[in-house]
Parts: sequence; structure tokens; C-alpha cells
Amino acid sequence: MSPHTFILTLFLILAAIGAAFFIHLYRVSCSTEGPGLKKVGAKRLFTLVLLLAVFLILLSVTLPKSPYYRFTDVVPEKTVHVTAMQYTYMMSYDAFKPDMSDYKPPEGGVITLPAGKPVEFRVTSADVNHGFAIYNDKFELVTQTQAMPHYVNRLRWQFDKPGTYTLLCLEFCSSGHPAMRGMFTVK
Amino acid sequence: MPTLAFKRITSLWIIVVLVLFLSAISMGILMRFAQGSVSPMDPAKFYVLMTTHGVTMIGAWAAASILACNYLMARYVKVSTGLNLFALIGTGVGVALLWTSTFSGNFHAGWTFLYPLPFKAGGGWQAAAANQFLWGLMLLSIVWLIWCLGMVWQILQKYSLPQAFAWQHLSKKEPAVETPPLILITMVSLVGMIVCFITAIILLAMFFSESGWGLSGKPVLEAKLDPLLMKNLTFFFGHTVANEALYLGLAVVYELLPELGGRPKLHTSWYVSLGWNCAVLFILTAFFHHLYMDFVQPQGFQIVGQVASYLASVPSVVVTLISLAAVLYGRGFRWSLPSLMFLVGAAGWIIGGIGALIDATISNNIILHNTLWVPAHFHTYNLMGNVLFALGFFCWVADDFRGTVDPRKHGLKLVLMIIGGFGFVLMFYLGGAYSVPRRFAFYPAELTHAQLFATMGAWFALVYSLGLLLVVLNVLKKCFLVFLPQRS
Amino acid sequence: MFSRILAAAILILIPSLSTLGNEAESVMGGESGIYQRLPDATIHTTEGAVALSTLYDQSPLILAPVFTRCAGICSPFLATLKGNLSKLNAPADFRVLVFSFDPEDTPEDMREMAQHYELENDSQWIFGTTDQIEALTDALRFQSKWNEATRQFDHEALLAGVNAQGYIVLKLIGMQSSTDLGRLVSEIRGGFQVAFPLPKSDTLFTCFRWDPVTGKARPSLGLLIMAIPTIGAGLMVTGISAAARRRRKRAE
Repeated sequence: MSPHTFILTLFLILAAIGAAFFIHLYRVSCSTEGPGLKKVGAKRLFTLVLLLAVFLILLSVTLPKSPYYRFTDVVPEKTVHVTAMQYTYMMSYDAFKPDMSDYKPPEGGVITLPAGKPVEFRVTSADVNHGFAIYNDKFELVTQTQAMPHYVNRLRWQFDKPGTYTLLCLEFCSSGHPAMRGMFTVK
Repeated sequence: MPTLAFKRITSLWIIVVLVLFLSAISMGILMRFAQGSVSPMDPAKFYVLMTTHGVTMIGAWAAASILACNYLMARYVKVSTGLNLFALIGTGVGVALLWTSTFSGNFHAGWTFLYPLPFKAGGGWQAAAANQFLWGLMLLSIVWLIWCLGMVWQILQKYSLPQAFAWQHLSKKEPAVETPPLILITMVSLVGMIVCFITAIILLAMFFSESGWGLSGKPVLEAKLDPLLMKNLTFFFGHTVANEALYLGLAVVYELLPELGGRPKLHTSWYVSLGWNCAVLFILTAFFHHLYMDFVQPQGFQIVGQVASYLASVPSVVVTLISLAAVLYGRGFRWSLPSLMFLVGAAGWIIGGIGALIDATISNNIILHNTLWVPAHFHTYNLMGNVLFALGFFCWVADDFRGTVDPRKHGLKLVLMIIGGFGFVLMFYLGGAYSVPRRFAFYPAELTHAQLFATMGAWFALVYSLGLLLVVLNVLKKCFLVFLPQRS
Repeated sequence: MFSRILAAAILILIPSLSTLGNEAESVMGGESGIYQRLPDATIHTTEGAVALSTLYDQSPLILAPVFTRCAGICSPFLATLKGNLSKLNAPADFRVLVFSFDPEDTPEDMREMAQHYELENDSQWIFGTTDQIEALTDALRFQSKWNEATRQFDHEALLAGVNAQGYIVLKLIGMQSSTDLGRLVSEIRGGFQVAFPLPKSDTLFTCFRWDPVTGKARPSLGLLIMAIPTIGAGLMVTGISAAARRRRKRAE
């Protein structure tokens, strides 16, 4: 199951449980005779402990998977310097200034990265906040970071499938936002 | 008890909120149809609508929640007609500034106006339009800050500060003065609102330090402020104002739900007091989850973001759900339209919260951040949560003005809103899970499913609007009646 | 009333605070040269000549360009570096190469400089000159300019981290805190910092315009600004409470 389908399924199941609880509440509230809610204190304590336990487990499972802690002990095979600007991405294997005076386009015009090896993107912006979201050839979001002026975010990733990857901007950057695109290939 | 003048100002406020809501919802439907390519729109025009829609909705429902709490507060403390009139006039001028800056000045940097976008229009709008928008927000922030401070003043006329936070309920002894849940929740939320508006004022002042304080603004050539600090401030303000509005909505539910169903009032117990005092603390740090993908944000803040997002849900959910269950469980509860709206609203709030928690998990956020998942969850707890809380209040208060009660359930109207509302947000969730970016005026050809979701979403929103319109017309009619000469 | 006065005070305070933030203006390209390999320049010390590649083969390096005649920043810069390094208490598996970018400096001048900081016998520190100044400073994209009026170089304070493969992995510009230095040390030893700020345009210090606060104050100022709303709200509500209590008492 892809992470996308997993997240949707998880949400739908939890939402259904939530909805069922409220439908149940409505139904019992309509019955003319009833005992009322018994042992409120015990139920409250149970809910509290259950919720805290679930959260504790979730935190310990998910926090280490945060992007800041992944691929930290590797030397990236390739580094791509990215400057986002309204409404495109300038990319090069070498660092360059925002006025593009020392910008060297990649050979063949397209950034090519090795498959199955860790790579690093150093992402910044020349004007406003932008997104740097990598989509695979099925147009599923693989990973992302933000491009913020004055700062460089380092996104490390390993692409296992060769192919063409598309970049879309995921931070609203004015009217050209949906047309802002970039691409690279993985071989 | 509210005076006639207070009823009239409340009624006027409700009319303004509903008119703003109906116009903003139409903008939303137009945008979804445009994204579905049913009626394509020029991107600049789309973003003008998006900016106006966002700022109007967040403002209208924050105001509605404040207003509702203030009306109900009249049961316990002395309230002020003048203060609400002042807020209404200030809001009117603020909204006029905002709407002219977008519709006539073409300003479209989004309601979050992330620095330095307002100054980097690329020819999209003039510096004057940006400053006009920012001044509109500044005016609203100042007016609403005074509004909230005024309400705190009203509460503190009767309750001491610890009593207003219900601290005397923390010990298990029977306290001499009882703080009703309405006062407690209103007080903690108002403090949160005050934090929000001060943040907004600081944020906007920083914008003006760069663009000039005049209404016309000067062209800005160089970025000077720190974008990271500005982004933190923006979401500190934006995230918190949305959450506090929801909490105020819940205060209304605590107060009205038992009484509408013929049940005894809810009382503040030690856990209600503790829960809501904790909620206000957690919610002030949860906003960090908006910056997960800004790796430059110190990692301590990122972790605090996830932990606080989880914890913020604990007190309000445990306390509120158990309280709701205690009110409703097996007691021949008398349902009417407002109480049903509260119940559905609570469900929408919980379901939206589940969506929010999934997104507030950093390892999920990497594939959900700024996809349609974000509007999915906040539309769930706004459109299907806070709006229903406020709307339920409106339905109830429109009768309360005349001292009558409408015992009917108006099932069909509500069913239309439930089907339309949840269908509408489901289309957002589907889009978000399958990587459709938010805030795209049109979708890349490769994202074929995005257009289908958008069109379906728009149709569902129309169904919601139909149910809504039937409810709103009824409320509006009753609100206008308050202005007719009253028989004593 | 109290709250109104507070609100006014905060409103007045904001513009003055926010102008402090204007220092944050930055140039791009501070990360220029990152992950580029250094040229194999020859380093001359009083003990002889050694190839740069021999040095980084042995252990990662921190490069610090200075000149001995400097009347301003070089001295506090090196003193801070020494102090912060000892504060860090990191294992000494890396070395600091202080080299002169002034063609007039000799290895003897550099030895004296080392003596001045009591570092001439510290094996972690190397003080030397190079006959390939231009190649090295170009690779580091180090900015300096001779100022005829002051008879000094206007230059930035640069620390460049070089890993054991000879690649520049991180550059720090301006006076550094021990935290920043910690980042640098961790990075040359193969660690990973997920993001970094670009250097600011005003970091091209002339030796007479040095402001030790710049670069360090901004984050703390930012945190201060983010704390103002909560503190402000607390003060306002407490103020209102006090006023309301007085009024309640009067009414009684």
C-alpha cells in the first residue's frame, strides 16, 4: 500500500469511528427511558489514559521518521543547488548567485541523478517563499521542502526508481504559482 | 438579560456575518468550479477570490464566535451594546479596506500574506493595494483586540482573575463562587485571542516598517526582514485565531446544549477547569506544525509542534466528549435544529481534528504539507464545526430575541448540509491524499483526478449552500424583525 | 486604563524593534563553493612546506584566512575562535589552519601570531602562509579588498569547514557563537545539519565597523518578538483585573 493510500485509509477508518460515536450518542439520547451515563469518572480516566498512550506510541514511532533525521550519516553522491524564483527553479551542481552571474547550467540542460544513491538538494529562494515538491512519474508526491529566502534547506533523498521527476511549488507565490515547474531525471 | 439595544446590535452583527458568509461561500464554489475547468478563471482573478474568501471566512466566524459568547455572557455579567457597536463599525471599515484592496486593487497574496510576497507582486498589484490590505487587517486587529479586552473587563467586573479561569474548582472542595463553563471557556479563549491580535499588530507593524506606514505604501525594492521570523509570526496569529474561534464556539455548546434538550446545566468541575486551562497553553505552541517543511526552523520547535498538536487535543476532546456524553446519554433528549447543529458540529470538529493530527505528524506532513489535505481538515472543523456551532446559536438566538422556541428539527435542511458539507470536504481529502497541491488556480494536465475532485466538490458545496440558504433566510427574517417597534 | 497605556507602549515599541531586524538583509551565494574540492595549495610554516591535501588526508580542517597587520577583526576573531573551541570540548580529531591572505606575511609573522595566542605548541593549530593565495581564496569565495586609505584589507570573517576528502562542507561568515562553531565541527566530521542561514550582506566587515552583536542577536531578538504577544496579553489581563478589583471595592 502506498503511503498515500495508507493515510487516506487510516483517516477514513478513524473518521468512521468518530461518526459512529456521534450516531450512537444521538440514538441513545432519543430513547425515552435510560440509565444515563454511569461511571463518568472511570470512563473519563480510561479515555484520557488511552489517548495519552496512543499519542506516546505514535510520537515514538513517527518522530524518528522526520526528514531531519533521515540520511544524516551518508555522504551524498550528488548535490544539487536550487534557487526557486517566481516562477521557476534554477538548478545546478555548483552553487551560484541569485543574479545568475555565475550560474552554470547542467550538461545537457537537465539535472541527472543516480538511482539508488543518496543525493542532496540545497534549496533556497531568490524572492518569496516557494515550495520544492518532488513528484514521481505517476504524479505522487515523494518528498518536499520549502524554499525560503535567506535560508538554505537541505533535502536528502534516495530515488530508487529511475525516471523523470517533476517539481511543483507548494507554497503560494502569486499568480504564476500553478505554472511553476521544474524537472530532473534519475538514471 | 440582554436589553433590546443589545439584541438589536447582536442581530445586526448576525446579518453582517451571514451576508459575508454567503458571499465568501459563493467565491469558494466559483474557485472549485474553476479548478475543475467547468468555468476556467484567470489565475490573478482566482487568487483575488481566494484571498478575499480566506480573510472573510476567518474573520466572519471568529467574530461570530466572539459575538455568540458575548450574548450568552449577558446571563452572568453586564455586557455592553456600545462595545459591540464599536466593533461592528471598526469591522465594517476594515472589511471595506480589505475588499477594495483585493477587488479593486487586485491584491492577491493570500490571506496569510506570507512575507515578502505582498511586496513582490511581479506587477500583480500596486504597493498601495498591499498597504491597504495590511491596514485593513491592522484596523481589524486593533478593534478586535479592544473588543476582546472589553469582554475580559466585563467578566472581571464580577469574577476575580483566578475565578474567571475557574482555578477555585481545581481543588475538590465545593467552591463558594461557581464559574460557569461558558465564562471559563470564553475567558481562556479571549486570552488566546488577545495574544493573536497582539501578534497580528506586531507582524503588521513589521511589514509597515519596510513598506512605510502610509495607506499608499511606497515601492519596496529590497527585502529586509527575516522571512523565518515573519512566517512564525504569521502562523502564530493565523493558526491561533482559527483555533480560539472554535473554542469560543464550544463555549456556546456547553452553555446551550443541555438547556435546549431539557437537561440540567453543565457545571464546571475540576477536570473541566484543568482541561481548558491546559488547552490554552498547548494551543499557543501547536502552530509550529505549519513550519515542519522549513527545515531551518530549530528542531526543538518542530518536535514541540508535534507534541503540542497532539496534547492540545487531549483536554478539549476528553473533557468535551465526556461532557457531551453525560448530557446526552439515554435521557429522552429533546432535539431541535440548533442542538442537532451542535451535535453535527462536534462530530465535524472531531473528524477535522483527526485530519489535523494526521497532518501534524511530521513524517506524514512531508507528503501532505500544502496539499489539499490542509483545506480538507480546516474546512471540516470550520464549515462542519465552527460554522454549525455559530449557526446553531443564530437559529436559537433569532427565536430568543422574541422569547420563543422553535422545537422543530428541520431535518431536510440539516441533511442537505450534512451530505453537501461532508461530501465537499471528502473531495478535498481525496485530493490531498493523492498529492493534489492546494492553491492551484488550475491543475497540471497530469493531475487528471484533481479536476474531477474539484468539480464534485463544487456540486457538493452547492447542496450544502441550498440547505444553508433555507436556514439562513429564516434566521435573517427573524433578525430583521427585532428592528421593528417592539410590543412590551 | 492601564491596559490602554500598555497597548500604546507596545505599539510605540514595535517599530523601533523591527528596525533592528533590518540588519537581516543578506546576499545569496554564501554557500558558494560548498562541496567543491580545494586546490592542492602548498602551506608554508616555519617548520617547512606541506601540501593541503596531506593535511586534510590526515584529518578534517577548519580554514581561517587572516592577515597579521590587521588592526581589527582578525584579533577578536581568532580569540573568539580559540575560546569557543575550548568551550566546545570536542575531540581533537580535526585541525584549524590559520593562513594569511596577505602576500607580505611570512611564515615567521604567522609563528609570532600563533605565539601571541599561545598556540604555537598546540598540535591542533597550524599557522602558515601559502604561495597560492588567489587559488585558495577563490575556491573559498573569500571576499577581501585592499583599502588604500586605511592601509588595511576590508574583509569578511570566514571559517570554512573542509572534510577529510578535501571538500568544503560548510562556511560560516561573521563572528561565530560556540553553537555555530559546533555545527561546523560536526559537519566536517561527517555530521548533517538540515539547514543553514545564508550570510548577511553586512558581514563584509571593515576592521573598524566590527559589531560583535551582529549575527548573534537576531535569533534571540526574534524569540523576544515572539514572546511579546503572550507577555503582553498577560500584562493586559492582569492590568484589567487590577482595575476591575479596585472598581469592585469602590462599589462596595
